[in-house]
Amino acid sequence: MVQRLIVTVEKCTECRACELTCSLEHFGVFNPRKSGVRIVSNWPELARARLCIQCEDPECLPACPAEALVLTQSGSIMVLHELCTSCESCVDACPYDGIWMDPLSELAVKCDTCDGQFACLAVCTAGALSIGE
Amino acid sequence: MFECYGKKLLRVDLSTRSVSEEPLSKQFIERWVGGMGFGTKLFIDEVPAAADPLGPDNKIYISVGPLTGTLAPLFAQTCIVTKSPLTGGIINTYAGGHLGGSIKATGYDVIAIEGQAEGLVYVLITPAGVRIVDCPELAGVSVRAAEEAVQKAAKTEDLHTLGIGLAGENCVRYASVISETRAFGRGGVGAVFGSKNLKAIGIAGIGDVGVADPEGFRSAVSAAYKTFAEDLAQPWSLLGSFGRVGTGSGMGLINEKHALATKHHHLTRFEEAEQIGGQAIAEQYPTRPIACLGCQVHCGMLHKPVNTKWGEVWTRGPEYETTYSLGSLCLNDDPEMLLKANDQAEEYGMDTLSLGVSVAFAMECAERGILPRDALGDDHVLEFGNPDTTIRLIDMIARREGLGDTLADGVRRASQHIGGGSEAFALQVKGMEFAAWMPERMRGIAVTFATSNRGACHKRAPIGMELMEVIPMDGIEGRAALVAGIQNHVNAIFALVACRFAEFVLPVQQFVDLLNAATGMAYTEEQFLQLGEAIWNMERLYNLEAGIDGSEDRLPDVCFEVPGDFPPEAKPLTREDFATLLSDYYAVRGWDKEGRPTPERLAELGLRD
Repeated sequence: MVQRLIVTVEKCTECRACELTCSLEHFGVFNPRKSGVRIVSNWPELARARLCIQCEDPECLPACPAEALVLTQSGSIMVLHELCTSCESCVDACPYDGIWMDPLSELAVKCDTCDGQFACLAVCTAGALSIGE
Repeated sequence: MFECYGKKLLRVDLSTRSVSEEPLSKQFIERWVGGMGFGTKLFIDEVPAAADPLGPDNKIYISVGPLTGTLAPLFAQTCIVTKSPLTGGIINTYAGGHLGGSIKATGYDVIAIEGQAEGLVYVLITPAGVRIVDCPELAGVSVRAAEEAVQKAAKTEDLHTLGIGLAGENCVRYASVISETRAFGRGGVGAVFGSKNLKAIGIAGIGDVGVADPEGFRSAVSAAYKTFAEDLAQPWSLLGSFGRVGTGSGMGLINEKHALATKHHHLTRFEEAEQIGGQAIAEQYPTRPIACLGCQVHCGMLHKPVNTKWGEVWTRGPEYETTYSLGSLCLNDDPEMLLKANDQAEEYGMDTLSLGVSVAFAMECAERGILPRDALGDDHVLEFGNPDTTIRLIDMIARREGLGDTLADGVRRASQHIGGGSEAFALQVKGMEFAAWMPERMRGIAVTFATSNRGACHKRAPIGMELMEVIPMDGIEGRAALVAGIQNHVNAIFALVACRFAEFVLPVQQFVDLLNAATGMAYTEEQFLQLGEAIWNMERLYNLEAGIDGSEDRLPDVCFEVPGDFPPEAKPLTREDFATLLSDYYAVRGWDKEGRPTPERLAELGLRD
């Protein structure tokens, strides 16, 4: 099974440090829209987490006409930014709202688990992030 | 260098309905850093000291700083600088949440709002451009309803808002601007929005925030995370308790120390304090902690809707200061009333501190026979400890009805209007109502309230040191210098823009390390603190020009009376001690005996050739 990021929204304080870390790791900048995990507030209810569930039969992978999506060693799928043509086929193909477009760069963005390194885990002091299968 | 800035100012003129961009120069950024530094410098250069705070010449500067929108913890705040309708002087005020990150992503370091719209408008700042939108249909609606309307109209992800309710539209002089339950609380900035017919601003940025030295920045952020984590792990950590039950966590201790302003400063303890403290409220009502962007402390307590006798209430908070002002100060011991009052303040958009002090002032007037007990004009009895009267009076103030109209101008003006010697006990300095804390007990508070450029504000005081008796509460030696140092330090971190709570834990050098790594600048600790001192002196010079001179560095007479339950071992505040504190303060500041900055000190601070 492929390891994936789990967000326990009951523990989430909605600080979005995970988003800032993710965009820094993948794009070298702080920009929540470039993060592969998004926390969507829904006060007074709990937040909703948007992220890739690393499904077994990913529909995004074959949908990409530019071969910009590739399997990493850890089994997650990552976006090769230099190959992404902004066609959004992957976004249309994913039934789980697990991949989206950054409106600035017009590149596809998703959680690739940092190839199993999960950089976001270190900054989630609330303990809302964990690794699951 | 300067990757963490957009290096641009957005100017929105509501009179001409025009929008323009201006570059921020390298020299300007280097000298004023961001946040309060940017806002103060621009305000002083552009708004005449004689300007009517509620007139078209006043301007509003909304600014973020070099660390906003980055992973640096506790830097989520946004700063607003304008001319206060409460004090007539310069005001800086802050709100956390997620607004700052959104502003930063627009590429604007400062948004300047000027002029006056002919009818009610909101401003939308999105990737599609800047629009000024007429919104007569939003007249009188609550902040939350205005936020929802702007969200709906924007049709943009990641939109964050700030706006006013009825109190701002009615120019209640302590109306606040609310951003998703976080308040730009003090000084009446909501009334300035209202005077400009500006209901709300919706902001959605999509830009990147970079830093000059990525590796250095990662290392500075890691160090800051470690510092906070070590503090939060301690069972005695104040910030840790804020994260568990909110800022009201300290009420029991404050009460125990005879430092809880109760019954309009007649008392130092409130018998029912525990039941309105953070612990009790968090236990009694379903609550979860909510954080500002990138913050480990998560002090914001979000409640599920609560059914009260005044109807369903959904609110975040109340903060400690609210449980003082609308709680102990008014002798109110009903936590549901505090939830309701907090909700009213959020929806009308009012500073709970000035609001509570105004309500308590009216109760005091009634107790002394200066106002009749039926002054509300209905069945409500004006008396301490009456929750229904409190709730009713809050409505009347926001709507400017009857007695509420008088109280909506703040207690300084209200006392002048009501007379009967009430000026002696009106809890205000420079027109701003007292924050929690008692000058009668704590000398650092006496100096801070008397000398703050904002008026009776607690943001730059040695509260923790005095409360924990690291220094004696009633000691005066070195106290003025301590306060001046904190004022400089806090002003400096407000240029970044840091949360006030960061200063409790993070050493000065760590602020400087984060600043330098993010910007590429080479500030030293000394230069950083001197930036804060320079801003403090600029504010002082502006206020002097606006007619707020050393004679207003004073406390109301009531502070020199001894509260009924004053602890026998403690020393009351005397006029002699206060005079010593003030002259020490002027000396430390390098000001003359009238409290005017000397040319020599201004030259040392780079404010005069």
